[in-house]
Amino acid sequence: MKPMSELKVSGSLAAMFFSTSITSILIGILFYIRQQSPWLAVYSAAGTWSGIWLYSYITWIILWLLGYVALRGRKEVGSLRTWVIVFAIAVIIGTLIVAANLEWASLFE
Amino acid sequence: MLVNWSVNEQMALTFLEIVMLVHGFIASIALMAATLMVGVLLFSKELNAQDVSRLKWISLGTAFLVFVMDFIGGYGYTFYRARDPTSARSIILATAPWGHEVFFESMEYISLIGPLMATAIAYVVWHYGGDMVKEPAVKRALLIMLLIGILWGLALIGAGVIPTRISAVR
Repeated sequence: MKPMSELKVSGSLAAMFFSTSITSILIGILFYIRQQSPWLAVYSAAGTWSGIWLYSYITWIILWLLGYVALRGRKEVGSLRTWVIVFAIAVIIGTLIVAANLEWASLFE
Repeated sequence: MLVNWSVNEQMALTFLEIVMLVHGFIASIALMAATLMVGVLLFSKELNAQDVSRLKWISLGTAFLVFVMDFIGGYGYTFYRARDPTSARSIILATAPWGHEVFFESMEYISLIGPLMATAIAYVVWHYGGDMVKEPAVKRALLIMLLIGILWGLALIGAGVIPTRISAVR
């Protein structure tokens, strides 16, 4: 029985954690720039949501594939503890970037 | 005995309302599946091959459903935001703008992270298999990911319910 900090993660698993974490933050960043980014309105009926959906998921797949190719042979790429922390922080950051850029003032109008 | 199958007009759902109902059902199913996984991880010391296989397919099926839920949400969103004074978005912006600006927007955009989380959880389940209950480190890692997913999902469901109470997509 190993603690989370000692259980090493394989390259393929690290690629998944890496791509998922980066994409979670990317969703927040794309939301932040959406007002100045008409190119995000890929499908006009869905507005910038469509572009954030499309570009973030394409980025996710590409990052996952690249990470998989680069790391697949490696048996130890960080510990499970490190990757779970990275994943959790990335989800929180992505969520907070969106939350921080909502029109909270409308609650008090 | 004859049964009158005609439905009161008030009860009749439009196609779009049925689609959005399915959207909500999938969110509930995903939360139930995540809760089931938490229960299994907390109370199982060992799983046989058949149980591991079931959990793998439940996790993969849930990830697939979360993608479908996202897609259905996007479909409903096109009707929600229609440039029409009778669309849900127009009504909410005219009556309670915060319902759209804060709650609907957070639900619509933050939910894009959902399929990523569900896929990550399914991948870990498939990667470790039976070790998810035998190896405490894997069990703890999965529990953390599942609990984040459940709390995050509950918050977004709450964010979605508020604008729907003001004006539903129909």
